[in-house]
Formats: sequence, C-alpha cells, structure tokens
Amino acid sequence: MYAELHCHSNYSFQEGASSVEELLVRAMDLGYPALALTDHDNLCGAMEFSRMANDIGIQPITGAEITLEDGSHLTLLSRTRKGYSNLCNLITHSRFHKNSTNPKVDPDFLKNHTEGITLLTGCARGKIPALATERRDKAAEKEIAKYLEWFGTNNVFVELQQNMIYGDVYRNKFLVKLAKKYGLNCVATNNVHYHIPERHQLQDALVAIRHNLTLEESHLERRANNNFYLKPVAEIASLFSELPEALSNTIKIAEQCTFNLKEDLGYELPNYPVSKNHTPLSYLKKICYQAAVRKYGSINAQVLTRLEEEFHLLQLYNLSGFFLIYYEIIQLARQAMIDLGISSSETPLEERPPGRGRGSSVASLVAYLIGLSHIDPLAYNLSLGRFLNNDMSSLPDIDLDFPRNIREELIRRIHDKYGWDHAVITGSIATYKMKGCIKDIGKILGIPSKDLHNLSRQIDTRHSKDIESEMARLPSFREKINHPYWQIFMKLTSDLHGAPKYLSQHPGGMIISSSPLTNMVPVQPSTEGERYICHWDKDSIADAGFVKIDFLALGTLSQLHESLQLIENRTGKSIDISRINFDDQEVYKSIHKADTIGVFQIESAAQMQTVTRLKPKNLREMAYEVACVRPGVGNVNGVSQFISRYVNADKWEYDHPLEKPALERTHGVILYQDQVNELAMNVAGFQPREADHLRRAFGRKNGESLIKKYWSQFKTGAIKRGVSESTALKIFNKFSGQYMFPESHAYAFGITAYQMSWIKHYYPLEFFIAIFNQQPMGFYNLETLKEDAKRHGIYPLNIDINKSLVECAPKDNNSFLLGLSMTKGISNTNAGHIVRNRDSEGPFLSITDTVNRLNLNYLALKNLARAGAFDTFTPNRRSALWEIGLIYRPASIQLSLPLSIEQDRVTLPNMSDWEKMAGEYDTTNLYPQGHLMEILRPNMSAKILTSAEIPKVPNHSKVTVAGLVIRRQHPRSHKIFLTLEDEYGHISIIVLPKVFNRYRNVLSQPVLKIIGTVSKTQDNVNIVASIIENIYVDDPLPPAKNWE
Amino acid sequence: MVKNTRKKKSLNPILPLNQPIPINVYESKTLSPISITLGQHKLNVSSLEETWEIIDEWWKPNPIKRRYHRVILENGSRITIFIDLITGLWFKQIA
Repeated sequence: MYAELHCHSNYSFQEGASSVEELLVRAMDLGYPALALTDHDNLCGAMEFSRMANDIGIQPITGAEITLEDGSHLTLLSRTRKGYSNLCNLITHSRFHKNSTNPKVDPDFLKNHTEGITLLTGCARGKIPALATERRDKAAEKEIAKYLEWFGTNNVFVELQQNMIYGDVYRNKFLVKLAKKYGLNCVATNNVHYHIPERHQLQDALVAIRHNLTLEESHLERRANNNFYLKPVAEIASLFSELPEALSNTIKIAEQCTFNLKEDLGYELPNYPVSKNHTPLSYLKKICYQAAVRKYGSINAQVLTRLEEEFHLLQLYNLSGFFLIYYEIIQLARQAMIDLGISSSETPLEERPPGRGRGSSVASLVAYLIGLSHIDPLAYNLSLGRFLNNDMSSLPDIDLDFPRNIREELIRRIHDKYGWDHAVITGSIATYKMKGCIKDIGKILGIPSKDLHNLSRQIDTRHSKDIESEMARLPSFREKINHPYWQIFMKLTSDLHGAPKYLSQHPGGMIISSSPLTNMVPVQPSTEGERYICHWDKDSIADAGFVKIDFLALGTLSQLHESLQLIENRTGKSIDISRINFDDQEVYKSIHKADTIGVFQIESAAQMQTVTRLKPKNLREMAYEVACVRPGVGNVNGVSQFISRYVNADKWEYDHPLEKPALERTHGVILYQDQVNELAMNVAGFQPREADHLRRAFGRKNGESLIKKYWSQFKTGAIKRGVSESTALKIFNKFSGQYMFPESHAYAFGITAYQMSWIKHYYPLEFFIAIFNQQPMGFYNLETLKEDAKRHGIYPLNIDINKSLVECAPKDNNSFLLGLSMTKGISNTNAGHIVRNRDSEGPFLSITDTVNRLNLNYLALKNLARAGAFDTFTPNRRSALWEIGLIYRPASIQLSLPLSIEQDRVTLPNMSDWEKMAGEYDTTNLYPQGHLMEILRPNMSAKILTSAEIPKVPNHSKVTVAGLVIRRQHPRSHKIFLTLEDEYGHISIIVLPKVFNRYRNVLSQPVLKIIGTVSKTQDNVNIVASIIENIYVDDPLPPAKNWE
Repeated sequence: MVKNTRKKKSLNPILPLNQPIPINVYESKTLSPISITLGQHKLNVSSLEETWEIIDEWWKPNPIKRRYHRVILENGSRITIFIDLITGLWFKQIA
C-alpha cells in the first residue's frame, strides 16, 4: 500500500500542472487510500481538495511545502486541528515576513509552531537533501537534530524521492544512512507535479512562464524528465524495493493525520459584544423596534408578526450577532460618507443610505430596519423564504452595493476596526483565459509577438479548446495549424485554459470572525496595499461554512450620488431620492420610449426592446421588467409569454391549481428564483431545503444526474398531491438552470432603475456629467452617451486648457466641459496639477506659456492639442502641434535659452474635420462636435438610409444602412445582435447564424454597411442582415462593447 | 583587433564536441543493459550504479528522450551509456 504525501496541484501557481480533481480521480484509479496536497506556500486548494476527496472516498491530508528564509523547502502535513492551525499561521507569517514578495518562513517562528505537524525533510531543494547532495554530513546532521528537537522524533520523517534524476541514488543512500543514525523512519514520496506523465509538457511550459523565459532558455529551471506524476503502487514499490518500509510508512503517516479540513474546521459565527443587560438578540430587537417606530409611526400587527418570524429564525440559526456586525458596518459606511463629504451627520440614514441591499436579503424586514436594505419588504409583499426559512442547509448571503469610493473606504475601515486577522477579503483565483494562454504559451515557444497579437485580436471564442477551429477560420493562421510547432502551441494553449494563475481578491466579499481567522485559513497582504486577502475563494469559504459579506461596487450608485451632489450644487436643492414620486408617469413615459441609455438595468438592447412592450407604470412593473430580461426567463420563452398575458391580457390557465400560490402574481410565468422553490414545495411537497437544492441543481455544471434524481422525487411528491405525471412533467420543465433574479433583488434593482430614469428625465445635465465621470460603467461607450446627451439638449464641449476641471463639470444649464483627465496621457494627478497651476498663476496665455508652466511630457501636450484643449489660443490644431514641437524640451535636459521661435513659425493649413475627429477619437474616445457618419455620408450612396428614416420604411422592405458598431451581443442562441450608430440614432441589426458564419471576419470591423430586411414588431424595428460589408476607416475609432 | 582573414566562413561554424558514440548493447526486456560491445570487446555489466532519464526539447523536431545508466563493467571500468528511447539505439556518453 502507498499513499502519496507530497503532491502539488495547479494551485502551486506556474508549477503544478494538474487540477485537484484530476489528481484525486487518478489517485482513486490507482487505489491510493490517502493523498496529501502540499502546494507551495499556500492552502488555496485545500478546501476544494478536502471536499472532493471526501466525496470520492479518499482520505485528504492537508499540507504544504513551505519555503524557509534560505530558500529551502520543507514538507509539512497537519495531523490535528492544532497542526492545521499552526500550518495556517506559518503560511500567513511567511507572507508578512520581512515584507518580501516571496513567502519565507523564519526558522524561529517555525520552531514555535510545530505542534500537530508531521515534518518530511523535503524534495531535492530541502535543506537536508541538498546537504546530502553536497556530501556535507556534519551540516546535515546538525540540521536534522534541530528538527528533531522542534518537532519530536516521532513526527520527523526522512523523505526519499526517486524521480530518475541524476543524483537521486546517492542522495537517497545518504539520507537512509542519516535516518538510521538518528533512529528515524524514511518515507517515499514522488514530488508529484501532475497526475499523468503526458502532462509534463504543460509543467515545463508553466515553469518557463514563471521564470519569464522561453522553453529553450529555461533548461536549468525545468525538471529533467516526466517522472513527477502519480505513480502506480507497483512502480513506486519497484523504485524502493530495497526499502519497503518507505512505502508502508506513508500509510502510517496517513493514519496519524486524522484532521479532515472539511469536517473539523470548527468555524463559529461571529459574535457581537453587547452590554450585560442584553443578549445579541435582545439588543437587535431593541434596534429594530426603535427603527420600526421611526419608519412606520408605530409597530402595527403586520410589522410585529413579520419581526417575530424573523427573530425566531435568527435565534434558530444564531445569526443575531452576525446581523449586529452588519449594523455596525453600516454605521462605519455612514461615517465614511460623512468624512468623504457625501453626506452630513444631520442627514438621516434613510435619506442617503451608504449602501443598498441586493439579492434575497432585501426581503428581510430586520435588514430594512437596521439599514442593510433600502426597500420595505412589507410594502411590496416580499416573501422571506428564499432568504431565511426554518429548513436551511447553508447560511444566507447578504450582499450590499456601495458607490465605488465608499466601498474602498469602508473596506479599509473594516480592516482597521476588526484587524486583518479578524476581517479579510475573500480570495479569488484568477485563471488562464484565452488571451492569456495565447500570450504566455506563444512567448515561451518564441512565437513572434506580432503573430500573437494578431491572433488574440482576431480570435472570436472564449475557450482555448476551440483554438484550432478558430485558427482554421482565420486566413492568416489557416496554414499554420498543420505546422508541428503551432500544433504544440494549440495543445498547450488548450491544456492551460482555466488553470489557476494567481491568487487575487474577490470584488467585495469579506469574512469577519470573532476568533482569529489565521487559525483557519492563511491570510496575506494584497498587492493593492492596506488590504488583506485569505487563501480561499468564495466556494471554499462556503464549504467552510464561513459567513461571507459582499460589499460590491456599483458604478450606478456612484453616478447617483454624484448626480445628486451636482444637482444640489447647481440648484441648491437637496433631493431625498428615497422619497421622490415613484408613480411619476412622465418618468415612465420616457422609459416606455426606451429613452434608457445609461440607465441602470434597462439600457441593454434586450431591455430596450422589452420595456417598450411591457410599459411599466409602477415599481412592481419595474421589478417585472428587470426580472424579465434574464436568461432563465428568456430561454423558456417566458418574456413573450408574460407580456402576452400581462399586457395583452391573453387567456391562459394554470397547468394545475397547486401552481396558483406561487405563480399568480406573475400570471403563471416563473420570473423569480423564489417561484421555483415555491412550486417545488406547493406542487410536490418539497421541504424548503430540498426545494433550494433542486433550484441549485439546475444551475450546476453536469447536474443531469442530480436533476434526474429530483425529477423522480418531484413526480412522486406531485402524484401524492393529486397531480398527474404528465402535468408534473410540464411543471418540472418550466424550471431552468439559467440565471434569474430573486424577487426582492428585482425590486431592489427596479427601484434603482426608476431613480436613475427620474434623474435622467428631470436633471439630464447632471445625469450625463455623472455618467461621463464614472466611466467605465454601463453598456455604452462615451461616443454613444454623448450622442444621447445631445438628443436631450445637453452638449459636451471639448476640453479647454483654461476652463476644464479634472473631471467633467457643468458650463451652463445645457452644456458641460469635458474633464482634463479624459485626455489620453493626462492622469488625474497631471490634471490636478494643471488646475492648481491655473488657479494660482492665472489663466494660460498661449501654448508656449502652457508648455513652459506645466512640465508635461511631449505626448501629453500633443494629445491636449489634438483633443482641442488649445483651440482657445488658435483654431488651427496643426499649428498648435507645430508650436509644441518648437518649444518643448524634456525636463531632464538642460534648460533651453529663451530664444524667440517666431522665425520658425510656418503657415500650415488647418486640419480637416476628419482629421480633427480622428484626433479626438484617438485622444478622448469621443468627438463632441459631430459624428463619424456625418462626415462619411456625403461620400456614400444615397440609397443608404439613416436611423431616422428606418422606422418610416414598410415592414419586410429591403434596405441598406451604415454606421459605427457600438454593440455586439452574442448570446447562447447563436444569433448576433448588433447596434449601429449614425448621426441620428441607433439601428438594431439581427445577424442569423448562416449570415454570421459567412461574414464572421467582417463583423469585427468598426464601421459596417449592411443590407437587410426590415422586421417590425409592435414598437421595435430590427433589420435582419443578409449582406455585410466593411467600410474601411484607417483611424482609431471608439471601440464597440461586446457581450456574450 | 583580429584581422579579417577574408576567408569564406564555414557553413557550420559551431562544431559539436563530445558527441555520443553509438555502441552495441545487449539489453533486457526492461531495456536494462546486460552486456556492451566496446570496439572488439564484449563486456558484461557487473552492476548498475545509477539510472536516470532526460526528456527534453519535446517542442522541437528532434526531441530528446533518453535513459542513462552509469554502469560498472566486468573489467572494473565505469562508463555512462544511454538508450535513445525514440530510436532504441544505444550510445556511450563521452563527458
């Protein structure tokens, strides 16, 4: 028998070449009873490994190969919970020690964290094996004596590895002799880096990537052969035939390692310190009752009943302390708002809440009362079950959206308040995507970067497994696919896809604990500074049972806050956005016209086409709207079905009366996640927990067998309740694995969408300034937003070196100046410097004066000129560029004599409109004065219709249109949706699969001419493309936004 | 400065040194050497001191896949030989 005790997964970044799953499945096939995961200096894969190993019946051993200060390695295995805690602390320590970018453990720290850990002396890079190789007997003996003292004789094993590398035989002989001298046991390991020998090529590639070398250059860094795989027991036995106890000791060690991470972690929910007179629950009740009186005037029966229900569930799951911590976090966020000048201490929390709830938590009244959510769940009759019920298998998620700046500040303050060992950001494992694979593999193979760039640019798939078919499609790569070198490129690219690349941070997930987190998971500082991340991603955190708190940055909230501030600055009115008229039909009318560019949640082409059909008139219908355009609804034809029933009052019937409680509110169509759970419970008698599992099963990868199991349970339950099998199947078929919103989430987002529409309708100037300043966000690029602003009578003006501020700012009631920082090459710091210089020394008098006063680099000055920032001095931008060239001297060289340049001036023709436009697109990504099509159109056939003319054309007419592509959407249906923009507006194009395949290469071009057929449905007009042509433009243009 | 000799440059200016020498080896089923023919002499392998493998340059047209053995022959000499696992040919390593 043999158990592998030294095994690296691909969480040993750029070192291990097989996934945890591949290793475990192979270990199972080989009949290993146990497997240790010993990744380099991290436990990123430990929880995933433990969960999967438990599932397939292999004993998981949690370990790591740590790096000491001198760069040597040691293999550590956790025997007990204490040992695991020590391992976490050692790895955490290695990440903070001496501010090194590479993890390093101080031996003095190791000495004090040995309890519960079994030490193996390590690979060839271990100190003792290295001394053995160098034949330094005395030094090796001294080293082993040290470890025996620290770990105890029974817990130190001399590790023997035989990977058919030159020197293995001598080293092992030396180590056996050493073990005998000290009465120690030897143990065989294979220093596994991949599950099968064939994977060694990827491992070589990863090593080359890690060292930033080509395969050719990385000879010394790569392993000499492919023997670092999970070996069959017989193979290992033959390698150690002279020392069979080296194999049997692997089993002994495995038996000693009783700690099972998935089962024995022992996480406790965070608690909240309360005064002696209170328990966490009684204190939470006090806060809620006080808030309820403020919000409702008194505590009526409805409020009391709901609160009692929620308090009962919070007590059941011991969640009161957790909610109180949230309450505290909201207070921290509010203080951050006040300190950032976004709110004042006089403004009630309810008027300008720092964050907004999203997800199922919005249905909780307690969440509403303690400031976690901005929506009264009673007013909208939101059901609690999806968030909290009396049969839950996992803890509820609470997600909060914050404006970007508040979120950043809040995370910093949470670290400060709780300490980085009690509050950390959830890790996230960045994985190799298509372009990264092409770049890194191409580089190590020495493929010219121009080829790699071209391939990356032209490729139209997300998965590297399709790279061969993609290359076959591209004329410039078609011939390469049969070349052996490119075949290796394609294979490695495909193998690398999806492999972990590095530990990153989750966008907003944090975990908070009452006891030190460093006893449960390693923590390390983030590269961003003042942030600390743990080694587990959100899935491992869920497996550990940790409570994760999500603080998400929502650009829309930043836009909303900035708009309100700008409105107050201009008009003196402080708007309480929570108390605007939510039934304002003027606002709804603008939504009905799909005047929603830049409006959160309802700006996509799909939303625009639905909103004109659904025509929401209140917040309930806004929730319908945002919930409708989700894959889980659309993919089962739910949108059309719902609109026909709700708007057109088409007749319909329930498939069974038991559906009524769940589906009555949405006319028999499943719009919300909650309704899947409700149907399973009402129709088939599922318990809440089972219903939730059923819903999740539909969303799982390869969940077919699970779904089959649930169908059987559903059928049996439904038949028991008097539903026929065929009806049960009909109902079951309505469930979808695609994404849907919980009902409360739809309300939360629906309200935000309405608020943004309200601002756009009544305060378009502030709406557009804020969205310009908050880029990147939303569906559209600046050029499209600029066109939309103009349609609303708001005019963005070119940057002016004497008037523009750092960001966009109002000029008058109908126009705003673009911000200096929008210029390519002008950072916020540079822009701030320009403004300060102007404020202190007065306006710039000329281009020469500007250049001399600012000390900007040449490119930045040229970009300002091309963006029109110097038009105030001369309308001739070519002359401006000439002048900059004459007077510019880099700051690093000796100052030039202040000689006149007048004699060097020449008369140059001004730039054409096209040149100005190209310059502005290149430097600011937009052309405030006009549109590309306005300049192109005089040179085009009169047959090409404008977007303004298309709605007047009869249905089914054949038309030709042209425009700048602003959006490409490639949903799962294989149809492509494009939006062309011309000087009058937008044209929606549908490209069917046949046409798509024919014109695939043309479709990626920025300006297109399309011949197609008009297709009108109700208020929507599309053109179904039949011929697509590229309109060649040899200048940089604003890029389209592409969505899949 | 070195004077330009104006002689025509060789087509292959870099000459490989210590090229492995092809040898005949009588091998076992597991490709272990049993006896070696060196010149006119056939010598039995007394013992295998160490075996190691090199797998490299797999991305090139002529990948390297070799198993090396350091052996002690019956006459007491110690030599390093390898089998090319792609062609099955045996070589003596010079340095």
